[in-house]
Amino acid sequence: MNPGSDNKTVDYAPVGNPPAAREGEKGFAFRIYMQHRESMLGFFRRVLREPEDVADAMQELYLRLARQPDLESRCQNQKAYLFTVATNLVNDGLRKKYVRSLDLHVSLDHETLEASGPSPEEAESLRQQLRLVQSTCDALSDGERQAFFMHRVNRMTYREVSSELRVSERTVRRWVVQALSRLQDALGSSS
Amino acid sequence: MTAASDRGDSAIRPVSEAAYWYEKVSAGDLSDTDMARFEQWLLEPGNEADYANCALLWNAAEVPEFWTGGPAEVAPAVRRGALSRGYGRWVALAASLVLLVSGALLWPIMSAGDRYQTVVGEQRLVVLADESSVFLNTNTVLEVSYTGKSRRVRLDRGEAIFDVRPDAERPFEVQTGAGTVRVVGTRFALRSMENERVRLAVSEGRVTVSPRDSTRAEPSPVLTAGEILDFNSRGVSSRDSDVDVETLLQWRSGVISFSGEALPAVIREVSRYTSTSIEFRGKDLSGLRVSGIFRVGEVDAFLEGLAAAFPVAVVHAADGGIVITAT
Repeated sequence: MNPGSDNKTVDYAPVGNPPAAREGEKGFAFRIYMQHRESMLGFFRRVLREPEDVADAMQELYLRLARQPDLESRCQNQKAYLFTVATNLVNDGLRKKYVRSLDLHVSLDHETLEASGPSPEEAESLRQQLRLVQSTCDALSDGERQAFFMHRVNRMTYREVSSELRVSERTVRRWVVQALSRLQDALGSSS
Repeated sequence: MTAASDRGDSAIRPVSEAAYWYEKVSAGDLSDTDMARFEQWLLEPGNEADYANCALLWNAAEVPEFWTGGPAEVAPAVRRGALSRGYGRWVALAASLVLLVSGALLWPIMSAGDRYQTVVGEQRLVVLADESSVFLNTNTVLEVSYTGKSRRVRLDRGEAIFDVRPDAERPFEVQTGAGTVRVVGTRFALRSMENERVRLAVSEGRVTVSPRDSTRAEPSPVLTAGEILDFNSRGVSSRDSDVDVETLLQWRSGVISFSGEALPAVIREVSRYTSTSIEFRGKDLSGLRVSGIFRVGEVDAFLEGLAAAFPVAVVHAADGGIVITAT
């Protein structure tokens, strides 16, 4: 967070100096970032909730775009590409501190977002939703539960899970998707 | 017993599109055609929100508390020291007894009972009809038989933490091969050890132990918080008090920590969590002490750490097993 920034205002444009005006990839990265900013904000807000984490994630998303050498050719389907980057980011990137690459000479000053975060009502509502979802875990089939648990909690790869459960990797993936799908149904029906 | 023989596993269920896409993206399984289809799917109203919900769940499910039903203050993706925080909350919920039961002891099947099982590497919470709960560790079998007059469970093998609701009319009993544990208080944990020995650890409350073949003249030992006792069918073999029982229960968070245990014992402990056989061969290295953390499921990382820190070699045998030898 910028020290001294006015956290009471909603600021949807990056503050500070515009990124180094270098055409080509970085310009393109900036353009698609701005074009899809609302969508990505919505995504990170749902998953991360805390404004500081959301801001970190948006910053990291931009940096990953700016660092991608052949971004234009990879980005035929822009939304799909961005959501793929964002997915990888939340799945494994956020436990580490972000390291801002100084090589880029890009100054996308830290996003300033409305700093109030979720209201107590929203936080409680999410907690209740998740509790309902938790009870769905018991209704999963044994394979679904075991595969999803091992893959997520024990961080086992699909190959490791398939060798422990003695089924094919295809079956492990099917169980994982089925588990996620049933949990999502439970979340959806409670909101 | 394979998971596929359990309920409903062979059925192929319809899945939500969001779950389909989230798993595919997370697995990195996206061709150019897939990207185009994913794009079209994202453009339809409501799908971005569904996708975000899947992201939320995918990451929430990584936290052990999500599965144990503990108060899940879920901030999954950004964890600043979250592991110890989560563990602390669980302890506040459930001071437990830990019983470890070793060996597959032959039992007649309990009638009118339910059977719960975990495979190697799995952990699972079971909530019983009276809202008592049992948290099963790796490779554990539990049978439950509740009647109007009694609450009986049997721990056939493995390790479990019992959180027992008070019921003056119906005492709660756990049968093991070595004897019966009766709860007059709250929570405890049990573990099967080698040679038909059972280890009982009490975190809160009072528990009595009746070794199966002990004479009536001997009073049943009563344990309270912070006490550990090993017993077999003939009686108590060792007893200790003022023990840090909570450290023994860390496996609930998927983490096993070692502080100065002998290397062969550590290897034996870690091998409980995988069906890959891990053998230790060679000269006696029980003088070597291990301190560190093993995260359930990360056996490879554990072995790499061993090889780096100790004069041992880790060899993968042709039959798929692992042999650790002193170098």
